[in-house]
Amino acid sequence: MSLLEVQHVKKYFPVRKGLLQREVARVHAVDDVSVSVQEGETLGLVGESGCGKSTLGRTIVRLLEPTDGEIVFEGRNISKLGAGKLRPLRREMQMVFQDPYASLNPRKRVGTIIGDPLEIHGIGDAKSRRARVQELLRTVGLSPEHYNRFPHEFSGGQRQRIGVARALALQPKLIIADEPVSALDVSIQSQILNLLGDLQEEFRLTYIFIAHDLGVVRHVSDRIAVMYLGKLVELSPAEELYERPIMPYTEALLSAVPIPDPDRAEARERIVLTGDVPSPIDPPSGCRFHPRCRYATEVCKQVEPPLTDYGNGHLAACHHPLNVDQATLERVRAAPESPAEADKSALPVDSSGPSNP
Amino acid sequence: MTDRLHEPPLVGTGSIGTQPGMEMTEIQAGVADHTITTYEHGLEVRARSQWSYARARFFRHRLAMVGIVLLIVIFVAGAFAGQIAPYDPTLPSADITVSPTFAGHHFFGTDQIGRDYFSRTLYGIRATEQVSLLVAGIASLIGILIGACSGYFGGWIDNLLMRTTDLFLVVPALAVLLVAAKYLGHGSPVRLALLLGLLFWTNIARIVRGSFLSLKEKEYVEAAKASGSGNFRIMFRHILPNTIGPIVVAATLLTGLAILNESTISFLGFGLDLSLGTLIADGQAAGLNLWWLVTMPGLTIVLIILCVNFIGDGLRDALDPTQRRIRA
Ligand SMILES: Nc1ncnc2c1ncn2[C@@H]1O[C@H](COP(=O)(O)OP(=O)(O)O)[C@@H](O)[C@H]1O
Ligand code: SF4
Ligand SMILES: [Mg+2]
Repeated sequence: MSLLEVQHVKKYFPVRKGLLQREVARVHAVDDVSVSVQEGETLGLVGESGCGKSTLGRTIVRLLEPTDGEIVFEGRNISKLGAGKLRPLRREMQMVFQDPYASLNPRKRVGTIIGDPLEIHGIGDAKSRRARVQELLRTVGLSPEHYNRFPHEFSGGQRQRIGVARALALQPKLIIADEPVSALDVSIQSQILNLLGDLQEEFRLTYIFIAHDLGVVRHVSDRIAVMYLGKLVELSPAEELYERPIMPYTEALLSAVPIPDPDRAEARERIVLTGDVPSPIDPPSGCRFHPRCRYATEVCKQVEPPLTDYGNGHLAACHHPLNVDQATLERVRAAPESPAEADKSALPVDSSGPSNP
Repeated sequence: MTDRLHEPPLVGTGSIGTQPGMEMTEIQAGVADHTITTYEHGLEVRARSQWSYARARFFRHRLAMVGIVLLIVIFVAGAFAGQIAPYDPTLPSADITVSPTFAGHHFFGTDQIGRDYFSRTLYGIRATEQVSLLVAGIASLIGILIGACSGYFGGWIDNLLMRTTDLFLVVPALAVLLVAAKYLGHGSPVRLALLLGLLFWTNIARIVRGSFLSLKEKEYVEAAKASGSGNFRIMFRHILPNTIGPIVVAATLLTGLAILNESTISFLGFGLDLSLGTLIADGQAAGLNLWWLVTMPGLTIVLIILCVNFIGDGLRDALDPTQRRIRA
């Protein structure tokens, strides 16, 4: 049984206008996303800014109530729980936030910030909580002497460590890290990533790791989910996604990842995504990516491609899948309307083991 | 190692390898990085909280400092009127209609029946001070509760509370006060303070609401929610401490407003038996010949209001987060 199952989750935000605050439109922030997370794994969640990654994360930890769909955590449906029933659940799931400046209360001492969850859940007395917080500070690579300091006395990286310590305080099973390093200096990023990795081993943590590009998540993720405009468009084991992206959006994201090897970088074609992400208030018809997709055809505008399983746990939603050979395509087609002819350069998907491009 | 840059220069010693901070670096290096020690040393220089900046700015605000010193003197004198006053404020003495003089300690003179106006002014300050501080307290309490609920919960609660606030703003405060004071508050500082407090919370409510509206979107509020904090814990433990600055400024200025209103009501004869306003009213009735009977309590009020406003200005400048510069 997976630790977490997200089933057809939707989160729409109402747009209200006028004196009576009538709902005039809806932001389709997360639109029918299903994905499951196994215990101990790291699921990378990637997409451009505004694609609904944070909203999905917040809905999973039930900072938001899903508009529709189910969130099943350890076999229990938690999507409709009220505030009271959610409280014990808070011990199981925690979040690390994107902005290490905004996520720590400027008026609170570090000890209070990290100890707050313990106090809320009535864990231990004041003295044992203090000891526990100091131990947590050590665990995340800070010093117990930092207990009485204020957040502004720390650098961004140190602040993010404080945020991690707070998330660890309740010994959760699942941590959702919402772009935990994107606000940090590149030189500090790897330190925080290493810390998260070490903690995962030490405490058997399960992560959902959110990022806005495919660069950072590569080294930390077991599987990667790609989102576009509220939709899950590709889900794949991490290495496979980098070797063989199926959805053109993933291909475009990949082409933006810097390659250290100059020869390979030279050979690679850089696909520049033109235009902004369209508004999630009125998303494009058919495939939501079609206005920006260089492979788009008529069918893409009309028919929404469903998420299709191409084997090896690799799912994608596209009418013109890349890197899929003819045989596979004849077996699985996204929709009856999808063309049956494969991409010429396709590689065999059902080969066992990692493929060599 | 970069730590060196931040360490204090070692005068007169040759060794640099045995700093107290070194051991820690070794331990922590296993976990992650060296920046920690770097910052530990850098800290001693950099660490100044927002409060300490605010404090520094406030202390350099000359008028505010003058204001606070004077106000403390006046308020302490009022609080200890019983001990300081040379005469009983209500009993006539033999010295009738004496103009201000040091003789017999009639600093502010006496009236037609010989009551000492310095003593009476001290007692007047005491009443005025009690009322105004109570008003500031009551109004802040109501304003914080209503503003916090309005800003935090939003939606129909916000609509309801803010429309109520608007209602209070359009009500002619003085008229209501006069009517209410006549029937309810007459003679009692506490009841008068309650009345004023119930009328003057609106400004603080708006300020608190505005702060809550923006602060509730902060990630640290989400973090508190994710840890299982209830709404009231979030409102009063996490958000409220971040709104203290503007509340203090507003409450200070409100103290001045309360003094003015209390004096007005008392002047018009609906307020307290002995307050600065009552004294001015009595003095005015005595005619211009006894000019000191109006002037002395009047100047006292003006001085108090000036002080309060200077302090308010100083606090506002000091707590303004956009102002990093320390004012000379
Ligand atoms: N509380 C909210 N109310 C209304 N719209 C929201 C809210 N939160 C997010 N959105 C909208 O939902 C979309 C997805 O946002 P978000 O989940 O933050 O994206 P990401 O984290 O991928 O950048 C955006 O268009 C954003 O404007
Ligand atoms: S379905 Fe069409 S528009 Fe969408 S990604 Fe595939 S090719 Fe592009
Ligand atoms: Mg986000």
